[in-house]
Amino acid sequence: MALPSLEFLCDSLVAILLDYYGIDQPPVPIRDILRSPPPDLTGDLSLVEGLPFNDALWIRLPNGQGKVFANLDISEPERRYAMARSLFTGLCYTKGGRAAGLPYAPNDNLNAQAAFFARRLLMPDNLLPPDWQAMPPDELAALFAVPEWLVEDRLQELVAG
Amino acid sequence: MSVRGLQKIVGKAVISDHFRDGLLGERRAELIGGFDLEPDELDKVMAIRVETLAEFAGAIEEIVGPRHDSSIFGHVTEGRYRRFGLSVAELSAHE
Repeated sequence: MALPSLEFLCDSLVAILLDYYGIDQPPVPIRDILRSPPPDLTGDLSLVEGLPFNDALWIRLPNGQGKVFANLDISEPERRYAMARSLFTGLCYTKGGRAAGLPYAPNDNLNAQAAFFARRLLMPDNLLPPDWQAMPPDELAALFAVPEWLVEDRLQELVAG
Repeated sequence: MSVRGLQKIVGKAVISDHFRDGLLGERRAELIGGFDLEPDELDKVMAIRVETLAEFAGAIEEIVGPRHDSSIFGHVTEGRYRRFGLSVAELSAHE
């Protein structure tokens, strides 16, 4: 029996998160997802903004609570991207994430896997405006509240199909 | 095809313990009723016979269509699990 690809699992997670939070326009409220996760994930996800180094990281505390710590000293678009990557790490450690076949974490490719998920979550194809192909990257970056370089990476993925 | 609906089924199984248990148990028909699937898609989902959610998700991806290849990110494959010293049998045991 074939197991799911990372791409399919990421798209499935993005689809249900957009649906669960009723997100139908950008920007994706990454803080809401982390601060008010679905009930079965409350022990795995929460948010603390105040990390004094790095950009963001997911940690399971000694009491069992999983938390994303984000650095306040980086720009808002970069922080949103970092929080989305850390969300993926947290999802990899959840019971449901492991059951579905999300990557075991940590692993050598976790940074790339988390970045892949974060681009798709923060710039979902179904939230793109109708004229997205004619919009300059800086306008799309402002619309989705993400770094401009992330827009360029995501556009390459979208064009490649 | 209701790609988004099929994806949501897999996604919901990740975020909801109740949904995941029912999907792999005897409540699948009841649980997938709200995802706007086409009749033939409902039939295909109901026909899936697997023991793990990972296998179920793989079967749903087969229904959705050709598998994409994002090789640098590493597909969730048997080979990949072996790379980390795990077999697919162990994968099931971890659930």
